[in-house]
Amino acid sequence: MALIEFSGVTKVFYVPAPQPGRLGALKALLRPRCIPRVAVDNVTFSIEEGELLGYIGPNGAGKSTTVKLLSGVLVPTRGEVRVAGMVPWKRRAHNSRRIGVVFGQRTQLWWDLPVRDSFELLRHIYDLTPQQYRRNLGELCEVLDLGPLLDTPVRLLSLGQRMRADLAAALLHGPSVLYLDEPTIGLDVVGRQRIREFVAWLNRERRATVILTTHDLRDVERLCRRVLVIDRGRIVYDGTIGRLRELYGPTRTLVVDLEEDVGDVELPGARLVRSEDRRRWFEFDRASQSASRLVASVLQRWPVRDVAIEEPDIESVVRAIYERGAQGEGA
Amino acid sequence: MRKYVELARRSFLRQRMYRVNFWLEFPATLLRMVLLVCLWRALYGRLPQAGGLTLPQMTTYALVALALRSTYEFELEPLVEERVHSGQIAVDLLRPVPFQLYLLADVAGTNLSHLLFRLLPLGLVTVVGFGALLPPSWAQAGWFLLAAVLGFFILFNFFYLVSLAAFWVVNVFAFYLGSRLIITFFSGAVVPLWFFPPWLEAVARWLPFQFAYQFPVSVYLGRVTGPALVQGLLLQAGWGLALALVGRAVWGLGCRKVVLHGG
Repeated sequence: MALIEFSGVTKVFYVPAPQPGRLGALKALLRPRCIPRVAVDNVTFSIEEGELLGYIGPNGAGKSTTVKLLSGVLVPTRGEVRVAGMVPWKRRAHNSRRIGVVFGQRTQLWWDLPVRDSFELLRHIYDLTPQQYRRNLGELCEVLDLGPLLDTPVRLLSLGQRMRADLAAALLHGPSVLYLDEPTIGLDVVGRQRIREFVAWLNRERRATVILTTHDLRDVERLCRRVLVIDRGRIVYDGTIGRLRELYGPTRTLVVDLEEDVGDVELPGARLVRSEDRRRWFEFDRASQSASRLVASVLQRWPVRDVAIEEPDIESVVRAIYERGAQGEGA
Repeated sequence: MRKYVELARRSFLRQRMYRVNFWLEFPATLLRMVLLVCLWRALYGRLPQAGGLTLPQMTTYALVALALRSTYEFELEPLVEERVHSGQIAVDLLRPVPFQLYLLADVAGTNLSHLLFRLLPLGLVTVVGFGALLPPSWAQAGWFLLAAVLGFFILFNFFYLVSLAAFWVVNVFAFYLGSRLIITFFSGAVVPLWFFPPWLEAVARWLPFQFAYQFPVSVYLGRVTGPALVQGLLLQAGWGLALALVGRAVWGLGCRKVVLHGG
């Protein structure tokens, strides 16, 4: 049996509806009327032990709700969630010892304490022995390079530093299952790269099962073999990243900043899609064209100030999935 | 148990970081003490034996009650409100520690610090500076401390209950003000219940709040001893536990609402 089973899960939220009329506010106070909003709609998937699953979708697609259902913070309206044979929300405290959760937009550190003190508190909250604590902390400090941060109060950390500290906080008790909800949100390139390397390390060295939620495709491209795409509460794709790439976006975009306006230009192997001032956008096929060769030929042709390669963003992927009516493998 | 001690220790130490607060609050409390003493002197000028207390007893009552009031600190409402509305409560739900006990440990650390750095100096000032009476015996002083701790337990659970309103209403400020008003009035923190009209006193006797201030201060004065003392302490513990259980149940309802219907 799979480690994580998500079968036919629906989660409906009830949001208070504003009521019309002059006395609307009063009516809402006396007799609130709520409208249902389906956050997760009949979602089914399963995850094997040791898998590193990318879970992507635009904002508000239902990613965080899924993570909360998995961790036991939310109870499904319909359907069943099982993690290692247990229903998470029924045995929340028990479940919490084997899972590690990071909500990218929140912190579980105490903002006015130094990082080390937060860790110490967590050690007691999770009843870790001094040996366990020292071993885990030592390892995490090394991999996440936390040494210099340990004595800094949390409120003085940068976002990237705080995220590293939060990752360590979620892993101190040595959980075997990890839910990372947008751990790279708001981070710069270096910060993102560090988090990615760390997640890869966790999955490889610690054999942790990881669900990585993000709306940045590059995160999953670097890390995951399998990816789930969710949109408006429904799973629209479940399969390998390679196949997803074939499906959505066979193309990438090369953006060229020219030194001078050379008018209309052509580039073999690529299609000019947009032209603005001295900037040109060329779309090219991912499979048949090498980006480096294109860049080389651009440099040969015109005096160039700068080049950049743009990957399709998650919104365009989802759009592409709809346009093709594709359901992916196994979905 | 160890984890709660650690949580309390941490918030105890955190209070030590806010030393400036102490130097701001201390003179303000002293000023209030001066005003209280003047007030009761003026009132007693007309009737020297009001409520069965002599003037020195009455000023002692007022001063000790004020010292207790400046010692207790519960700011649970803003804290819980912020956590519920921001969704941070999810993090609390995922810890293998009940939220109520987590908060209790945290608040206990703060108040232990206040006991040492507010109640003790204030007590010294009331006795040395304002000529307040001392408890009749060391034992009675000990009972007073115990009663004050149980009073803390009642207040904590009451404010915890009030703070849980955040699960149902957007702004808990009215609850915050209202609960403090009720406490101030019905606990005898400002005016002892002995001065209440009989019907109002009867109402107050059936509420837990007198056990937060009037009872401990009466113990301090030596007005409650023997079986009445034991009975009072048991009632305090009973009220504290009852409120704690209600708080636990209401927390369960609040969580159900969040986990079933969303925040």
